[in-house]
Amino acid sequence: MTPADLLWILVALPLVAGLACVLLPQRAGGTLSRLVVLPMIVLAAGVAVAVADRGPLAHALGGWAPPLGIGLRADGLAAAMIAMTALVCAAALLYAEPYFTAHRAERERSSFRPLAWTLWASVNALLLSNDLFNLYVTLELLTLCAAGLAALGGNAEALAASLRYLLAALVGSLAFLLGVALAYAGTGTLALPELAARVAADASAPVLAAALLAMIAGLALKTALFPLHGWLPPAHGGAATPVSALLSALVVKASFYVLLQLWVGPMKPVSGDLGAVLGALGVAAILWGSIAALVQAKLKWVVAYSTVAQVGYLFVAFPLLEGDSAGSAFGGVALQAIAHGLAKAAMFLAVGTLMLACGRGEVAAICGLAGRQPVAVFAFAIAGASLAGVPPTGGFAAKWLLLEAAWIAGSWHLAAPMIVGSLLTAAYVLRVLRCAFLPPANDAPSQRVAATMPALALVLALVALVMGFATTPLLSLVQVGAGGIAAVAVEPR
Amino acid sequence: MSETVLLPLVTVASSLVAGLTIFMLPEKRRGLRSGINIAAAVIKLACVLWMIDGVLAERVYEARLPFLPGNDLVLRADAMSLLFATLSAILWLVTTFYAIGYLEGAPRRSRFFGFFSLCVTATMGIALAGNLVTFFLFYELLTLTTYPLVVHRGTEKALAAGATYLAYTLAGGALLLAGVVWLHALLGTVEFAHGGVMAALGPETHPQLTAVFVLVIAGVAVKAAVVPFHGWLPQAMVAPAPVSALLHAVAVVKAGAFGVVRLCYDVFGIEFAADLGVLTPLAAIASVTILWGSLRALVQDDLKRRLAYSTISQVSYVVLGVGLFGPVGTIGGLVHLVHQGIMKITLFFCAGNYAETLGIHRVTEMDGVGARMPLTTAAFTVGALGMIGAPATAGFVTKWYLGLGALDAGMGWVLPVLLASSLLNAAYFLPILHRAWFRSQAGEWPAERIRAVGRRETAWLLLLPPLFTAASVVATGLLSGLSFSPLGWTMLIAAREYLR
Amino acid sequence: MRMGATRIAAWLPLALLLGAFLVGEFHVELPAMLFGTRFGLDATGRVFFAAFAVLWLAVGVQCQGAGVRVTLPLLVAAAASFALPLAEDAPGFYLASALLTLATYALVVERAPLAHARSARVFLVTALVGDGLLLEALLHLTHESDGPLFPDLVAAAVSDPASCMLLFIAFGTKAGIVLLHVWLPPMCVALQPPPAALVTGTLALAGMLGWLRFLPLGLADVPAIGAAVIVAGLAAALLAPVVGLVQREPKAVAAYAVVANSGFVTIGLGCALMSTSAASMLADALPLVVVAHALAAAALLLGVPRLPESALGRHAVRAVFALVGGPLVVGSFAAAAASLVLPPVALAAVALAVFGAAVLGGRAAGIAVRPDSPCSRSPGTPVRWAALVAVVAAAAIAVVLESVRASGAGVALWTAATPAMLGFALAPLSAPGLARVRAAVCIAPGDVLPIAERAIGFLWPRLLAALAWPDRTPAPVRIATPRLHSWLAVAERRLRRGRGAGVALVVVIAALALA
Repeated sequence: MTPADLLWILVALPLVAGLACVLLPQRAGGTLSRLVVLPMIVLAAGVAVAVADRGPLAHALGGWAPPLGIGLRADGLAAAMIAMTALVCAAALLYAEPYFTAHRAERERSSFRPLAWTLWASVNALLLSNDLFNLYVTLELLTLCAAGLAALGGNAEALAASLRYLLAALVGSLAFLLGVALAYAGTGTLALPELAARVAADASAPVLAAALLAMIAGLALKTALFPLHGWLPPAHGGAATPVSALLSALVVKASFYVLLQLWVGPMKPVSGDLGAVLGALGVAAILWGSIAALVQAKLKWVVAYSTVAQVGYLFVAFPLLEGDSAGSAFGGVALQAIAHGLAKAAMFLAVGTLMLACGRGEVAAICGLAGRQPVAVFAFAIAGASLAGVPPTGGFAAKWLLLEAAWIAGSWHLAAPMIVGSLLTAAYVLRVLRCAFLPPANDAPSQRVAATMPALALVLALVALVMGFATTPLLSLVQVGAGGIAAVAVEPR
Repeated sequence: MSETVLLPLVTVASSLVAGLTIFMLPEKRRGLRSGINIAAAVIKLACVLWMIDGVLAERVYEARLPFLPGNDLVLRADAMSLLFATLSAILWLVTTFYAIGYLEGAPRRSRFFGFFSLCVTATMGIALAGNLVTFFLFYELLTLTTYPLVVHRGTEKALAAGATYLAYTLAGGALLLAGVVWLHALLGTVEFAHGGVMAALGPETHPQLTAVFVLVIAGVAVKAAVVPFHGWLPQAMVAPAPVSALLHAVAVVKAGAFGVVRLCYDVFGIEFAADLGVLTPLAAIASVTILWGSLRALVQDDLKRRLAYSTISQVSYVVLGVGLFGPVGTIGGLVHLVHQGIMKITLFFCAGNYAETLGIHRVTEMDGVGARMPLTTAAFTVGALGMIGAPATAGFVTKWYLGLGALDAGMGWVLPVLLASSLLNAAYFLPILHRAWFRSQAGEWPAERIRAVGRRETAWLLLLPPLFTAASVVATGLLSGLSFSPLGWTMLIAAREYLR
Repeated sequence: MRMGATRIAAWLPLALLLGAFLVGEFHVELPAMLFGTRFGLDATGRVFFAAFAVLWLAVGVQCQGAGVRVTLPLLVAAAASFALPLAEDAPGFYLASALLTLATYALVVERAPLAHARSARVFLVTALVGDGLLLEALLHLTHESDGPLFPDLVAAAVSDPASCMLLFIAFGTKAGIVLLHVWLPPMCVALQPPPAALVTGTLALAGMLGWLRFLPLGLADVPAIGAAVIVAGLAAALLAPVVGLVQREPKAVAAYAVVANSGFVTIGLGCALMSTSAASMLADALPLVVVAHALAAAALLLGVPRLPESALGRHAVRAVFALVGGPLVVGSFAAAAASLVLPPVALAAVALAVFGAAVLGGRAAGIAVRPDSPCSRSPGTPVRWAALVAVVAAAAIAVVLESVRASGAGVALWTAATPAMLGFALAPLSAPGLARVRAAVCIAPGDVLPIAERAIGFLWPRLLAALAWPDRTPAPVRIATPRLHSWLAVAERRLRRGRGAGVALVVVIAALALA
C-alpha cells in the first residue's frame, strides 16, 4: 500500500467517526473521539512526510480515473494544511469534552461531535480535491457543518448569527457554482489539470473572465474579505469556543485555499489586474479589522475581528503572486495560512478558558487572571505574538516573506499597511494582556477550570512558535507541486 | 558539539532556562529561586570570560540554527559583541544580588525574576547576534520581556508608563523591520562583518541605502533614547530600582546604542557610511540629545527622573563616537558603552538605596543624607563625578577620547558641546552632592524602613553592589592603560575594525 | 592612633622637602595608569615641589580639624598638590589639577560658615569653568602635538594661539588674574586665616605652575599673547589697590593685596612671552618669583601668630609684613621684565602700580598688627611662621638679585624700590583720608562679582522655568476614541445586514469587473 492509498482514509475515517458518534451513546462517543484523534494526526503527518519525499500524491477513488471518477491529489500546500487541520481539529475535539462538561451542555456536546468530525472530513476532502465539482461539493458540505456548529451556542443571538452566516455562505456557494458552470461552458472540463491546459490555450475568452469573477466574489464572501465580512464577527464571536476555533482557523481557510489554488493554477492567465483589487481590499481588511478589534468590549469579538484582519494579510499577497516576488509571496501566504490557523485556534481556546474562569465574556472582566490562569494567559500571549509577527514565531516568518515580496515588487502601498497592521495587532493583544495583569477585583468569582483546556491552547500556541524555526522545511514542502511558482531562495543569494 | 558552538548557545540559554524554571516556582521558594538566579549569572559570566580568552587568540565562536530561508539564526562572538556581553554579564550578576535584596518581601517575585532572566537572555542575544535577522529577533524579544518589568508594580502610573514604553519601542521595531527587510531585499542576507557588507552594491543604490540607514537607525535610536524618541525613558522610572538600573545601564538603552554601533560598523561599514554622508547628521543629532538631556535634567526634582534625563544625554555619547569618523572617536564611543553602564548603574543603585532605606525620592529630601548613609553617598559621589568627567573616573577617559576623536575627524564644534555637557552635568549633580554632604538633615526622613545598625547603614545586599560598581568606576578610570581594561579591549576592536 | 597619624601628617612635608633637594632627576613610566602616564622630577618641578612642601609644612597642619570631613579633603588636596609638579604629561597634570580643585572646594565648603556659603559656590563655578577650558586646551594641544610629554605639547602650543589664550585663562582662574579673581576676596573673608592662606597659596602655585609648564616661553615670540597677558597683569596691578583700599573687611584688604601682586607676576610672564631673548633672561627667575609670591600671599593671609608687646616690636612686624605683602619683590621683577621689552611709558605705568600696591600693602600690614584684627593671634606656632617668612625672604632676595642681573641695577631698583618705599611711607599718612572715602564708597569684596551674580540671577531662573514644563505623558496615538468606536459599530451593523452586505457584494463585483 503506497502512501497515495492512504489519502482516501483521510476523508473516510472522520466521516465514519462522525457517523459513529451519532449512533453511539454519549460516553462511548467521547471515548471514540479521543481515540480516533491520534491516528488522524499520525496519518496527516505521514502524508506530509510522503509528499515532501516523493512529490505530489494522487489517488483515484475506486480505481476509476478522472475525469470520470473522483481523483484525490495532495501537493505540498495541501499536505501542510492537512497537517494543520489535523492539529486544530484534534485540539478542538479534545477541548470540547471538558468545555461542554463545564457548561453542562450535554445536548450540544452530542451535536458537536458528529458535526465536528464531518467538518474535518469535508476540509480534508476539499484539500485533496482535484476538480471543480468536488471543490464545490466539499465547500457546500463544509458550509453546512459550519453553520450547524455555529448554531450550537443556543441563545437567540447565536442562532441569528448562524442563520446570517448560512445565508452569506450559500450566496457565496451559488456564486462559486455560477463560476464553475461558466468555466465548464468555456472549457468543457471540470478537472483541474485539463482546465489549466484549456485555459492556457484560450485565456482571453470573456466567459472565462466572468467565471473567475464569479468564483472570486463567492469565495471572497465565504472568506470574509472586507467589506464582505459582516457575518463573521457575530458568528465566530457568538459560537461555542471550540466551534469558534474551528470556524476561524479552518473554515475561512478552506475557501481561501480554493481561491489560491485557482489563482496560481488553472486560472492564472485570466487573472490580469484583479490582483490589485484583491490587494486593496486586503489592505482595507487589515486596517479595518485591527482597529475594530481594538475597540471591542467582548473577548471573543476581539479575536473574531482579528480574523478579519489576518485574512487581509492573505489577500494582500495576490497582487504579488507574479514576477520576481511570486516565490516569496506564495511561501508567505502559505505560512500565514498555517500559522494563523494554529495561532487563532490557540487564541480562541485560551480566551474560552479565561471566560470560563471568570464567568463573563468582557475584556474588562479578566482582571487578575494572570495569576490564576497563567497557562491560558501565556498561550494567549504567544498566539498573539504570532499574529502580531513577533519573531521567532511562524507569523513572523510569514510576514517576513510577504514583506520581502512586497519590496521586491516595489509595492510600498502594500508593505506599509502590513507593518502598521502588526503594530495594531500588538496593540489589541496587549490590551487584553494588560487587563489580565491588573490586580483582581475583589468580588470576582473564580471557577476551577480543567487543566486540559489551557494545556491544549498552549500546545497549539507552541506549535505556532516552533513553526518559526522550521520555516525552511515547511517552505520546501509547500512548494512541492506548486505549479509555475518560482522557488523561494533557500540559499543566500 | 564543539566548544565553539556550545559556548554562545550556553551563554544565551543559561538565563532562558533559569527564567522559565523560575516562572514555575512557587512564590515562597526564595532560596531556590535566588540560587537559580545566581547560578545562571555565574555560568553566563564564566562562558563570556572563556570566550574572551578565545577571541583574543582569534578563535571563532559561532552557533547556527535554521530560521528563515537564506537567513539562519546566528550567534557569533567577536570582539565587539564580547564588549557588550561582558558588561551585561557582570552587571547582571551584580544586579541580581541587588534585586534579591531590594525586593525582599515584595509580591510576585517569581514573575519578576522570571522576566528578569528573560530580559538578560534577550540582551545577550543582541550582543552575540551574528546577523541582522538574529539581532532583530532578540531586539523585539527585549521589548516584550522588559514590559512586564516596567509594569511590575501594577499601579495606574506603572501601566500608563508601560503603555508609553511599548508604543515607542514597538514603533521603533516596526521601523527597524522595514529597514531590515529592505536591506535583505537588496542584499539577500546580512551577516555582520568587519567593515560592512555594502561593498557589492553600486552607487545607484546610494539614495536607497541612505533611506535604509535612516529607517534602521531611527528604529534602534528609539531604544537608545535619542531625541526626539526619548519620551518613554523618564516615564519608565516608575519601575523598581533594579529594573531602572538594568534598563539604563545594561539592557534597553545600551541595546539601542549597541544597535547603532553594529549597524554603522558591521553592516554599513564606517567608511561607507562616511561616503554616504550620514555620519555628520548622526553626530549632530547626538549632540542635540546630549545637550537636551542635560538641560531637562536641571529642572527635575525627582531623583530617578533626573538620572533618566542624564542617561538620555550620556548614551548619546556613544552615538556621537560613532559619528566621529576615525579610530579615536570609535574608541571613545565604544568605551563609553561600558563606562556609562557602570557609572549609571551605581547611581541607580544608590537612588534605590535611598528610596528603600529612607523613603527618599526627591532631591529636595536629600539634605544631610551623607551623614546617615555615608557609603552609599560616597558611591553616588563617585558615579556623579564620573558623569561630570572628573579625572580618576571612567567618564574622563571617554571625554578625552571623544574630544581627540572630534579633532581627528575635523569636527571641532563637538568640543564645546562636550564642555557644555560637562558643565551642565556638574550643574545638576553637584547640588545633589552638596545637599547630601554639606547640609544637615532637615526634619525626619520620609519613611525610614531600614534602621542603621552600627556601621551598617542599610542591608548588605543593597550596599555592596553600588560599592563594587563605584570601585570599578574608579578602577577603569585610573587603570585604563591596562590591556584588559575596557579601554584596552576597545582599542583591540578599533584596530580590527579599521585595520583590515 | 589618630594622634600618631596627625603627627606623621604634620612632619611628612618636611621629609618631602628634604627629598626635593636630595633626590636627583628621575622619571617613572606608569603604562597602566590613565593612558600610560609618566611622572618625574625636573628643575622647575623641584622648585615647586619644595614650595608645596614648605606651604603644607607651615600652614597645612593648622587647618586640621576633627573628623574625616576635613581630614579627607586635606589629604587629597595635599596628595594632588604634591603630584602636580611631578606630572609630565597632560592627562596626569589634569588629573592632579582637577583633584586639587575638588578637594579644595570640599575644604572650603566645610570650613566656611553658612553665612558665607555663596563664596564657596563662586569658587566652585569659577574653578570648574577653568578646568573645563583647561581640558579643551589640552585636547587641542594633544591633537596637534607629536607626543604626550610637555616638550611636545609646548612645541604644538607655539602655533596655536587660541589654545595658549585658553591655557592662560584656565590657569588664571586659579592664580587670580583680573576678572577671574572674583572668587578670592569673598573666600578669604569667609574662611579662617589658616585655610584661606592654604587655599590661596596652593592654588596660586598650581595655576602659575601650569603657566610655566604649558606656555611656550622661550620657544618663540608670541607677541599677541604676550601683549594680552601684560594688559591683564597691568589691569590687576593698577585696579586691585584702588578697590582694596576702600574695603572695610580686613581680610579683604589682604586678599586684594594678593591680587595686585599676582598682577605683577603676570606682567613678568607676559614680557617673557613677548620675546625669546627676554624669556631666556627671565627663565631662571620666573619659578622663584612664583614661589615667592605664593608663599608671601600665604604668609600675608595667615597673619601674625603672636603680637609683640613693645611698640618697636610691632613696628618691626609691620615692616616684615610690608615687605612680605608688598610689591617690592614682585614689583622689581615686573619692572625688570618690562624694561626688557616694553617702551618707557609702560615702565611708568608699572611704577604707578607699584606705588598703589605699596600703599595697599602698608595698610594690610597696619591692619595685621592691630590687636583687634582677625589676622593677628592666628593659631599656630611662631616657629612655623618665622620659617615661612624666612623662606619668602630667601626667595625674595634671589629674585631681586636675578632681576638686577637681568635688567641692570638702576632700572629695577629705581622703578620698583622708590615707589615702593614712597608707598609704604605714605600708607599711614593716607589712612584718615581713605577712611573718609571708605565711609562714602562701598565696594563689596569681589568687586564685579555682584554684577555677574545679578546677571546670572536674572537669567538662570528664567532658563529653568523655560525648561521646566511638566512631563506630559506622550500618550500613544489614541486610535480607539469613542467617536471612532461608535462610527465603527454603526458601519459594522450596516455591513452585517442584508442590504449592506448586498451593496458591498455588488461593489466588490463591480470593482473586480472593472479591473
